[in-house]
Amino acid sequence: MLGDSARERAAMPGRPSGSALAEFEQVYRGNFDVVMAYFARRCAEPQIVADLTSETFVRAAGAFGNFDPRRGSARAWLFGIATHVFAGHCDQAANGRDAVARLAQRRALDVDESEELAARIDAERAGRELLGRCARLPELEKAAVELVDLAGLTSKEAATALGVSSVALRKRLSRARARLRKEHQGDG
Amino acid sequence: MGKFEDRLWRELVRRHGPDLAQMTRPAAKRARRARPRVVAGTSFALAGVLAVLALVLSAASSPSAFAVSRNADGTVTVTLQQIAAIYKANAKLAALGIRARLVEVAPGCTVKALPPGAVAAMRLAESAAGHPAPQVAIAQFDPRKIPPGKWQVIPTYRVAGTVHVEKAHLMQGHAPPCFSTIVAPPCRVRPMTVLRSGHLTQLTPAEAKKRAAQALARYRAAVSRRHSTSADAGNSGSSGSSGSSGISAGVQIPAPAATWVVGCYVHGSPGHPPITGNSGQSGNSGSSGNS
Repeated sequence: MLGDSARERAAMPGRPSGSALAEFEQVYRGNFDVVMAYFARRCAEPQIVADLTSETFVRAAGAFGNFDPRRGSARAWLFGIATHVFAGHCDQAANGRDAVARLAQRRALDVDESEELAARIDAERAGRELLGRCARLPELEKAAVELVDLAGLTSKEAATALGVSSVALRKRLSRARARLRKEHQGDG
Repeated sequence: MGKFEDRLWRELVRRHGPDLAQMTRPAAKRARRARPRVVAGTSFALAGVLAVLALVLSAASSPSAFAVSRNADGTVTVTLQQIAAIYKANAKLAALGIRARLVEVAPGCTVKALPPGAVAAMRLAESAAGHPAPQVAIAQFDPRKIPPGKWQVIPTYRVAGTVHVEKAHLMQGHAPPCFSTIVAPPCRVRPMTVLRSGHLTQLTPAEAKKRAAQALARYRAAVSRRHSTSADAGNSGSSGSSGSSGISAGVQIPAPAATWVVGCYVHGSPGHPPITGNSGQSGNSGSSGNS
């Protein structure tokens, strides 16, 4: 997983070498898998995973002018957007707001795409299990474990995505790992 | 590289490609932020001298395609002659720090339905297509009246080779990349709760929950009675049932009120899929009476 992050950083130039479109394509190609995996760990429905992934990148494309690589990696920036997208999805699902608009934006999936998404969701089974084990952890610790140990972000990137300091994130991460280790030993 | 990944990329390029192609990255963006202050300050200083100060900021390469001008009274006038100049005009608006965007009305756009007023104007424009029409479209608005967090969007479309702009609308969040010509079907304004049985209710959530609990109790009683009196338990026979519950002996009856209906569409809550007989249809499958 950490290799993915390194690959993404290598693919993402520090400064733009061409147009913003070419730069955004690098960001998109380098992070599509991890963003989709992020949603696949949360939803088992291919259509929802597709919608949330699409929404994340649509928002990212619209806000790419505000992205400053000096303030953090593209992956951390995208995960910040993905976190908001998922929170919005949960909010809307809970109270039904904007359902018409959401459904109007839905992308009809063909059979191949549905199978592809189902395979990705299946591949995240282990991640979902780990998230399930984290269910009793506080939200921030759970998010820290997911972003660092599952999505492969560095602790600094994860801190940027979650809007906390690196020190706070490392502390929370360490605490969460210790709790998980303790629970695992208790189960064993 | 997956098929979905490629398709999504094509969609992104279609929607945001022109904007991204012209986008200036953060280093240049910081320099641009100072420009609105300079422009505003200039127009303010000369306001007492000139009746109207129009600071035209049109592209040097295509001087007649568009113009963005700030007037002495603080309003902004956008003049557009070619639909393709939308992106350049928007870039100028962005450079001026104005939260307003021209948004093209495109038949293939699936992002948002066109506001009803724009549809009416478009029909008028279509009916007047045979008559002489102005060669440029002009929109004027006051950027100071745009509330924080909102964007002024100006629907823009072309009929019979002439560009038209429609009355601007305020929208929460960012402006959409395009407007659809397809208007959302007429929907009920108030959210409704649908029960697992397919019954709909327009009650408040608390009332709906109470009724749902009562309905569930009655339903369970009916099922248990049927189960005890008849071996043929596969047919629920309850009135207005959507058929999604498929009750049979020994099957756990699901909790009701797990799905919201908003307008004509059904939206399932996480972990609770939408009712199969109702999803995506413009009508409601069950009876509209309360259980």
